[in-house]
Amino acid sequence: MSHKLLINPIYTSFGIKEKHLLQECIHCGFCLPTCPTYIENGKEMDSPRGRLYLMEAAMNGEIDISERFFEHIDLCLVCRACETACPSGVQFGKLMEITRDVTHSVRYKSSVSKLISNFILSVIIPSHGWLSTIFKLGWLYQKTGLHWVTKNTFMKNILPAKIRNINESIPPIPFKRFAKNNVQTFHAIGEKKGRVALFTGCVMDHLFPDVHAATIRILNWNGYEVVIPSDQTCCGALHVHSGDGKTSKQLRDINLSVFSDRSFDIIILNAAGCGAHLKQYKQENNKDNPTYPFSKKVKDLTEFLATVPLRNPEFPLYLKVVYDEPCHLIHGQGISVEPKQIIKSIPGTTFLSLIESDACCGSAGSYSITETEMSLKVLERKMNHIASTGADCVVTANPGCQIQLQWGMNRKNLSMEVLHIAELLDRAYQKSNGYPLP
Amino acid sequence: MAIDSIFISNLLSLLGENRVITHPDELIVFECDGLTLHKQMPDAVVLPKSTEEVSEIIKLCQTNHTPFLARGSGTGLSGGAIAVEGGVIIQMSLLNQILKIDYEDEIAVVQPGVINLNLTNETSPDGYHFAPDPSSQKACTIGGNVAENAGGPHTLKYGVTANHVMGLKVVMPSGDIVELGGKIEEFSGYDLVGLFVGSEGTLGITTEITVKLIRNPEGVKTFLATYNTINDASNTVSKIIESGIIPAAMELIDNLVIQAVESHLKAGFPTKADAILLIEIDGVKSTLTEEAKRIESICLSQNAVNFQEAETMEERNLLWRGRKEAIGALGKVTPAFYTNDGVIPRSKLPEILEFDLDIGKRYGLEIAHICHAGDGNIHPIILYNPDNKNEIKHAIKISEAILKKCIELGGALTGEHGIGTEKLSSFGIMYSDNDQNQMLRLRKVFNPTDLLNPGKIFPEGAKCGESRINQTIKKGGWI
Repeated sequence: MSHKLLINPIYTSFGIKEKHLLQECIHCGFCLPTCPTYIENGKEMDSPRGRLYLMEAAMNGEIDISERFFEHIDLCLVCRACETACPSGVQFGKLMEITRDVTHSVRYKSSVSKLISNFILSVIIPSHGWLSTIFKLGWLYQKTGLHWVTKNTFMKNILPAKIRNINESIPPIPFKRFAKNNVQTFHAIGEKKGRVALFTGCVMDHLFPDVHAATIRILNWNGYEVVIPSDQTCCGALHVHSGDGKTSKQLRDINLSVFSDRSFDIIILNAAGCGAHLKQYKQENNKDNPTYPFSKKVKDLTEFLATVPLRNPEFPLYLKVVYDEPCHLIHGQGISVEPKQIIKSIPGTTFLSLIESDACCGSAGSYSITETEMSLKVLERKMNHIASTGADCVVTANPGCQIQLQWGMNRKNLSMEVLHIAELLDRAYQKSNGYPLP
Repeated sequence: MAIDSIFISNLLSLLGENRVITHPDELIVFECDGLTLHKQMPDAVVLPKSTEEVSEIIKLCQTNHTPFLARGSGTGLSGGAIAVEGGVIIQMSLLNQILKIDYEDEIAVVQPGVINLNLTNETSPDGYHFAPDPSSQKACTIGGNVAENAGGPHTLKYGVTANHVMGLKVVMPSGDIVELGGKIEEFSGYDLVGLFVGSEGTLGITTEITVKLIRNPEGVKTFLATYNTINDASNTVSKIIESGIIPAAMELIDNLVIQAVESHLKAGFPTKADAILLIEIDGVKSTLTEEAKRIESICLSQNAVNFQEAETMEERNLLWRGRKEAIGALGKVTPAFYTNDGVIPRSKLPEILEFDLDIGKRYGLEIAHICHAGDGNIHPIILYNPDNKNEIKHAIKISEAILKKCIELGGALTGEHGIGTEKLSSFGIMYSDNDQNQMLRLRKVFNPTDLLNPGKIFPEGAKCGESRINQTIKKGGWI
């Protein structure tokens, strides 16, 4: 039932700036059919236009900030497909982040879930030590067969539905993360064209070290020296989406100081979610702020590769490929053509079109854990489209999407491979003479 | 209040908790549609998944004497989906399946919640499309198109929704389910399909629609003509039609709209132009080159300073995106606007545009234009500040004056948006008391209790019941 709060933090916190941002929405409704949650349940409150209307009503003190309000705010994936669809450029993602941030402090007062969520966000995720420990336990959990037991025996029926879903979605965990505690440098192959830094992040670093390895080989092969500055931390996107603006800003400051070395031409990312967030660092500051050159240097791997003379893969890779666009690449960063061009440049590869390739897969950071039911509905729709293509592999460019799509494959008993675009290109390069071995 | 707890519990037992919305903190998002000038909250919103459920909902409403109406995507611009007298909004978004596509007979059967563009996207790989293409086609539903008899840029050549609907399954205000028309033209009996299309949801609620599928033309050419004066652009429109050419579309866009579109969408419109014409011709490829030449020479003879053809599909799509999303793009230049839907005979285009500019100046409000120029549907868009009571009053006055002028010039009140709640006060300018009474008698036959979508089309006094429309300013918000 509805639990009314005594104060309305949106009424007190939203000012002229927020009002203007909200007023850019003129209620045309173009966003509705692009919203995964509206498509699923058909309710205006779960559409971008409806959510903006709720924010405005809350700002005007017309509605209560109750659990009823948060139900619709929380159900938003922040996939930002509505921003791509919006003719007047409403910054929906930003408004959603502000709304979650200003209401954060008054939610779940003293509840256990708030304590757990706070601990994960502000203690575990920013610390590679904590993450390493937890992922090592996860590795052990899988190696000892315990994971198999909880997934495949009567044990799974004992677990509560939510835990069962999370348990089933865990991908194979590697023993070690990719980055080390000291600065690492990977030298260019052949003539050196530049020096770039790699942002390693948290999930990609700990769960998909192979993607980082592939990214580095690709960059080296194309003449770029890659440096991994040590002490970098999570980008803070997960925190902002969960309304924890405070921790997010602390993480931002750490990353800014780590990457303050001016000898990097470019900061490369292979996780779309982090890229979209790092590019936003500048929006919170004026142009005199040191974040400005930082955000200008941030490039998604595919975005960067499109601006350099890319070495063509010489040998064919016979694969039927579909590309599922990460929301925070296409909608968050406006990057859609570049990754497709890379896939199409690989000889032997057939690029198949995918219906609603620009729609969310339901991963959305921690969404698949917090809003599992909707996440699964969105995933189901995605997997039906993917299954109908008859492809050999699905390519994407974000760790969350990789986990979610792989889970989708397992749920549907599909044998299609899920690859990060760096892994695909790396595989295509591998037969070339002189290309570094994995 | 029109509804009580027993009624709500009946709705809940029919549809379940997930498909019944009753709390004001959620109902507030249903208080307006694409027209934000008029607002009224419903008492409940329900989401049926079948014709039978729609019928049951309607029967419950009738028993409880509760007003009810259907709503699609809420993109309408005349307030057609507002619950003027409260009651129940039947939200059709879950009735969103394309039931059948039949290329042999060139028809499709769809549920009313299907998005207009989705039908075209579904059939275009096979060389077909659904012709009515309102600017909101990315979002609006075909059910809504039927209710409002929607048009669009390509109406000029292909006709409005009424020309494309073959059959309807309708739940009558009594709850009875009837089938009107079918997959072939029916000439016996009364043309009830014709009557229902454009009746603004006041005669029944459609749950299945049989529409024509139109074969894609072999060739298409799209042109952008640039003008230093809006007058030259509007003169060109008549000259082209006079020459015997019927373009597929002919749209006039003025500088204010160009600025809005270019500030975010960047469709490639020339920002310094006073007006542009977007002209499209289609048909058999071999005839298009000759037609293109003739159009170009007419444009140049009317002082077009530039005439260019979209060379690639991408360029063409971008120009059309600029045109179709121009309304939304206005959010970049104004916090609120009011779109007028008046129609004039094509030849009067220069006259009405001059009138608009004059009256805008007199009241100190800017007026933007995105006209379906080819068929005289002018769409002046009055920009106003929703926090300023005077500007709101002036916007309404300007719109009324423009409609009056349209009628004087031999035109009509609406080209495609419908009367809704928006043009109630102007209805009497066009229709005599006798005309109105005849229409009201007809409505009484189908909708005797007047519970289906009351407060629409016919002005106060022409019907029983009192409008509860809220035209006051809400704290800090739009009205």
